[in-house]
Formats: sequence, structure tokens, C-alpha cells
Amino acid sequence: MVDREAVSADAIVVSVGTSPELMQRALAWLHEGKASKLVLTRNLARPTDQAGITVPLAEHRRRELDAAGVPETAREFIGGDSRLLREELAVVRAWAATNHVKRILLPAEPLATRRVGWLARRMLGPAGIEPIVVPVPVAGYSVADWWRSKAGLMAMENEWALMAYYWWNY
Amino acid sequence: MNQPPASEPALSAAVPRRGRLAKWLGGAALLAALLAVAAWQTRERWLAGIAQAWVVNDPVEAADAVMVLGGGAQFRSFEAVRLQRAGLAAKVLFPHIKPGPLETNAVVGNETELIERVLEHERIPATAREQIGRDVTSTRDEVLALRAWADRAHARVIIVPTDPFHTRRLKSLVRTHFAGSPTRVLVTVVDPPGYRWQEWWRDEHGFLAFQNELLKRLQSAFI
Repeated sequence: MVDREAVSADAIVVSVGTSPELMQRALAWLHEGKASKLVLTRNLARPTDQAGITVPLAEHRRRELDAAGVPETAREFIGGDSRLLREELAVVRAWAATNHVKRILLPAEPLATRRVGWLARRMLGPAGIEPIVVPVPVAGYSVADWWRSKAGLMAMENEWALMAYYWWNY
Repeated sequence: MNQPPASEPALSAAVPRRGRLAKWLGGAALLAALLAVAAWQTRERWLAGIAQAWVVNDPVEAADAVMVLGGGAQFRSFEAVRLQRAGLAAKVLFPHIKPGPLETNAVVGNETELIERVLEHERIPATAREQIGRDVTSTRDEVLALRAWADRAHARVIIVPTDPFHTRRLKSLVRTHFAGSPTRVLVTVVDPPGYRWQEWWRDEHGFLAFQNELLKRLQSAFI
């Protein structure tokens, strides 16, 4: 796990499909004034969204932001069909370039911080954007004893595998 | 004529042995390098071959029921609907899944309810869908619930569509828990979104899905 603290940035970036804990932390940072804008990357629509059975995640988030009192000027939805972290970061890079953004805050699950930070620096660094990846505790496991829970074991194992995959491919 | 001193015969015998060893090691290294190059050149073929060997995809035939496994609201449920509408399954079964910590919020929602909403939306009549089991938390729990239903309903054939790399573990559980049962359970593949499972190594979701199942298989072999 890479442990960093949230510092002032131009924007806070989360995915619309992010976990409740990461979303809550992003909102807290926004209210604390760590950044003036919350940017949400849209994911590929789920089949149940396309069929009209469920409300799209972006709409859920929109309602959540309304309830939290986040003004329209302090939020922005970008992208539309991201499925992978790499695709989301590409969308963020394009947005950041047109909005002259130099530093972004990225909340991430504790065990994912190394992978997310590695790829974010690789993709955003050359564009002059500094990603600050901050660990946020999530339900299911804790960093202190991740090996004691199935969720923690799976998360750790997945992160090692994905890190190897990223290193090889990207 | 000069005779070699007594120590020299041992030394001269050691040199040919060292030479043979060096040749052997050199040969082995060359062979390993050639094999590595060959493996690299043909990697796509054997990577695809591994997936083909792993994935189970039973031929579909008319069945008494098709089951939607947990975690399947987004894809498995639609596949179940397709099979039911095609007349290949009389009934759609779905498990009562124990709610997890993520399911308490509106964004994720309750998996069991979502599966049922999909079935309702797709106009599967109430008489053609049935919830089975209670608080299931694993594939094993689902297979046990399915066995109990199959025994009660005297089912002959049940189809269970699932993700490609999950099929092997599911089939193994079916073989174990349906041993002695007259019911045949057909495990079929639901194509994953966004990538071809036959080219799993090209996509991080495919890579993760396959290696997760490999690890679970290894885990069950040793624990």
C-alpha cells in the first residue's frame, strides 16, 4: 500500500461505479476545500441500465451530489464507456489537458493504491498532471490484517496479478 | 622417456569430465533457449489452448429449468431469459443470496431482488420463476440448493449458464453434489462483456478472471 495524504489539488476524480467509502471520502475532500471540482468518470452502461431496469450509476451519483449540496459548478461527469482503469485515465488525461489541470486527487482502496498510482503516473505524468493517490479504508478487509478475510486475500492476490499484468502490458 | 608424475593422471581425467559437464550444460541451456523462443512464438496458440481445455461448455438441450447463479444479474439472468424464451427451459431458478455489506446502498442494490426484477421486466411469468435456497454465499451453497430443488421437482435436466472460467469449478461441484442423482446438470458459457474469453490474456478482466479460478482450483486441491 502506498500511503499518502490528501493535499490541495485542482480536482478530485472518482468513477461513477466507485465504492461508497471512496465516494464519501471524495465528497468530504470537496467540502474541506481540498479541490474545487469533483470529476466523475462514467462507466460502460450496465445491461440492466440499457434495459431500463435500473437507474444508471451516473444518475445515482447525480442524485447523491444533489443531496450532498454539491453545486453544478463543482461537479463534472466525463467519458461514457470506460471499462478499464486505463480507459478512465485516458479520459481524465484528455479532460485535464483542456481544463489546465495540474494535480488531481484519486481516492483508492488501500491495496489498490500502488497499482492505481503506477498507472496514473505513467499515463498522466507525461501530460504534466500529478496524480495523488490516497488510500481509503473499505468494508470487507483492513490493511492491518488483510489475510484474515476472504475479501482481503482476494484483493491482495488480485492486486499482485494486476500489477504484473500492467507492468507487462503498459 | 619422460613419465608423468603420479598426480597428473587424476588431473588429466578430471579435465575431460569438466569438459563433458560444460558441454552438457551448454547443450541444456541452448535447448532451454530454443524452447523458450518456440514457446514465445507460439504463445497465442497455447494460451488459447489452455482456456479451451479449462472451459466447460455442455451442449444445450431442453431442460426442466435454467438457474441464474448469484453475481449474475447483469449477464447470466439475461442468458437464462433467452434460454427460457427459446423453449429450452421451462423454469428459471435463482438463489436467495445473503446480502453483503455493499448491498445496503442504493447504487449496488440487492442481488436477489435485481435478478428477480430482470426476470419480471423480461416478462418471465411468476409461475415460471422460482427462488431457491436461503442466504447462499458461495457456488457450493447454490449447487446444494439446486440439488434440493432437483430432488423435490424430480428434474431430469437443468442448465446452469455461467462465466467461462467459472465453468470448471461449477462442473466439479455439480459432479460432487449431484452424485447419485438422476438429474443431469448442463454447465454452459455466458460470453463475458468486452473481451473474448478465447483471448483472455489480451484483457485485464479476462486475465484476472482466469487466474482467480486457477488459484481457487489450486486452493481447493490443497485445503
